[in-house]
Amino acid sequence: MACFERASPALKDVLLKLYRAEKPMEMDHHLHEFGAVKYRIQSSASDPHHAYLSISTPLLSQDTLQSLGLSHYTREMVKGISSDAVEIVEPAKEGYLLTLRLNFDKIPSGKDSVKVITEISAVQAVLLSSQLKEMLQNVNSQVTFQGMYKPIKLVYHPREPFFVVRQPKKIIAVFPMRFKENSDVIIATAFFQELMDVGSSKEWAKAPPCTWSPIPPPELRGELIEDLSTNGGFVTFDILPCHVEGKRLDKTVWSLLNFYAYVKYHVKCTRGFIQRRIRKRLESLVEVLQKASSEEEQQQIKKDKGYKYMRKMVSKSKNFKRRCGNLSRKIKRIRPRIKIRGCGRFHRRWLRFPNFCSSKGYTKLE
Amino acid sequence: MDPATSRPAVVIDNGTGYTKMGFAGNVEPCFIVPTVVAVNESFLNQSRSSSKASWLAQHSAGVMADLDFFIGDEAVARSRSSTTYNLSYPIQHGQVENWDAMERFWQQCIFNYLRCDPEDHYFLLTESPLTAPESREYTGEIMFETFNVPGLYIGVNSVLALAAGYTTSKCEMTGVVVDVGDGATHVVPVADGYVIGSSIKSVPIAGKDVTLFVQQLMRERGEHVPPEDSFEVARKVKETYCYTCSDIVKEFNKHDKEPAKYVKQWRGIKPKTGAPYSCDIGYERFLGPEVFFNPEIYSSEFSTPLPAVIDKCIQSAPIDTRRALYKNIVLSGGSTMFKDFHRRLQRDLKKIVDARVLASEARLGGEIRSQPVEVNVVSHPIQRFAVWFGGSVLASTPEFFAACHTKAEYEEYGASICRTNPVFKGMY
Repeated sequence: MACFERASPALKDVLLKLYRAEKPMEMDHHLHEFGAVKYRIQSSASDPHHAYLSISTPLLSQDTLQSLGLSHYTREMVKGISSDAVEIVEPAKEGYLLTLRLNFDKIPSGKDSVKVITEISAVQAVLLSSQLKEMLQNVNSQVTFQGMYKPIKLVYHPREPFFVVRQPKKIIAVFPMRFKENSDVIIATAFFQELMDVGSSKEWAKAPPCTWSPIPPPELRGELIEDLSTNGGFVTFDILPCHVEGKRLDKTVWSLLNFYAYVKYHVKCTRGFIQRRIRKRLESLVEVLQKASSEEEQQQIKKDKGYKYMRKMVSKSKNFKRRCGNLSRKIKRIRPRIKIRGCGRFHRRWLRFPNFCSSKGYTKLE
Repeated sequence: MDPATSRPAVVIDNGTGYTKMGFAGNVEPCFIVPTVVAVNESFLNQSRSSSKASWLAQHSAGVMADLDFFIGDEAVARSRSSTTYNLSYPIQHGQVENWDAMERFWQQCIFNYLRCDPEDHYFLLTESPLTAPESREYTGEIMFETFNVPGLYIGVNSVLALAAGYTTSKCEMTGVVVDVGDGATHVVPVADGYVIGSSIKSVPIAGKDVTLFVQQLMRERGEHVPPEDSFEVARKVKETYCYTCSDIVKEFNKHDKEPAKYVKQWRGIKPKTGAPYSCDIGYERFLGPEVFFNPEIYSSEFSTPLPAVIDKCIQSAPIDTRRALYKNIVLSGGSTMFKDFHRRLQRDLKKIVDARVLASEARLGGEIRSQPVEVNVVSHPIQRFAVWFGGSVLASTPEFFAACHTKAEYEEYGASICRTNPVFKGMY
């Protein structure tokens, strides 16, 4: 999977369930996505043809202008999804940015219904992209104010803001990368270097040039220090006007928004992969160990039965015992992971090398 | 405060047949998908050649194949359409058997179905009451090491099922949970939220056996179902048409008198040739669920009917809890969804109890009369995902976050923190 779909799978599933339900359903469902996007789907049995979908997304930019609500352009874009079936409700439900009334009667039946519902469930993508698009589109218009290259801070996920810097011929998107775990940093760093190598190769000449550096790029000079302190460095994408032309704009914007999610997904997948490999390796090692122990046991039994080269064995046995000692120590090292309190005594007894007595010998009873 | 506690916890109930997942605080799970992983294993069996370049190529191809997998319905569809994917069922009989597949399954659940970052949410997973502590440790290891979750709670599914009834009727944390899933059937007595571990009874008959029995019946009658599809067809027949009857003999008579009313038709398309076919569904409609009440018709090894097992389970519980246990018998799991299943169970159980009461009265010669024992089998519409719902209720209480094992604890003490289950220690 190269990228996340625009439509939210959970939302789509819930809406389809609602749409296909034979009898009216009472529903109030809350969904979360990417840590900061919230959905609420409400439908009541008394009004089966309508459902209310409320969405709350983080407002990307902290500008006072935008925090008042959605811009006109965004509204137009939402209306453009499916003008019949979707209606914007004013004002939005409390705590949410936007509330839509879905009219299930107006959704065409048959195969188109899935298509329309998929489009509706991509509403969050539409909302966010349209906000970012507005900013990006200004690249094409050549109007730039002198010295107005101040970076715009965008907050999609509360922990991870990123920056968009407007420059005369292009836009730069800078992602400060932070990870909770040190091992994540290592995986991610390797990934970024790989990404840089692949991105700058000839096959990907059309892709936005990507750079990674452990220090903040000069464009971010003057930003808050807590935004500039990272443990994963900074990834920068240069977005040229050709990337924001026409249809490509949508894709570019969506990819930029979800860059963090991709990286995290990649890191977690890699961890899973490594863990699986470790487990496999461990299993193979344990197998060798078990094989060895069973072989030695067999040897020991053979020896106890007594055979020709007794003297040889006696001279060897010291060496042999040492080896067994090593083995049991090894087992001991593995064993303590499973601890049963009070069983330590038994443990020691089990792990001591068993004393086999020959079948002919006897022990004196006291 | 940890920002993760302000977001709802993710609740995942991994069952043998289906996995239920969603966010806490909801009534229904977001997704119910089959617990199955389609893995690309085409690279495992290739012969290794010695030259280094090809070894490298093979290695990277192997890595790619390792990342190439699907879960749920998608997995089933993929394995049908191409031969490169092999289906693997990570959970068998309620226990995780294949941890690699399980990890992949969780990965997909979290990232592609729920689309959340595991670092942002607490997690609630479920396990069967008979799960070994080692397996709980493994779960903890995967969740904390691979996914880096901030907190984890592993709930016992029967207790969660009981907690599901908690909101629909009354505050009752004492009861017997009859959990009939796809792969395992357990009868678990719970007193005040504590599992009475020594009295847990399991029955080796579960939903899958019903499916197998239906499949066998259809095959024996000679219905023309393509063999490669017959298990799936039997499963669908079971889910759509099966019901519980009150008496087999009467039911046979009813079917024979009015076949038009009772015999259903199944229509399908052969996967290989694409030709349509149809078959009749007759006695298996009520004979399928009957395996729980008369197991001898299905297997010769086990012949105790489910009501008798429940009775035995309650009789082995402490004497002061028995009345309360009889009063609240809760059904959970998809295989209790057969129509009238709870009525039949209640009737049969009542019969056993009444017989015992009568016998003891006769023994005492009518001098002492005992209070009648109330037998009550509770059934509710969310039975199919009662465990999930219970988890959702539990995870939306404010105490939940305090009861979780946190990442910090894990780093301090290691995976052994998952050995002790707060439910066994008592959280309520």
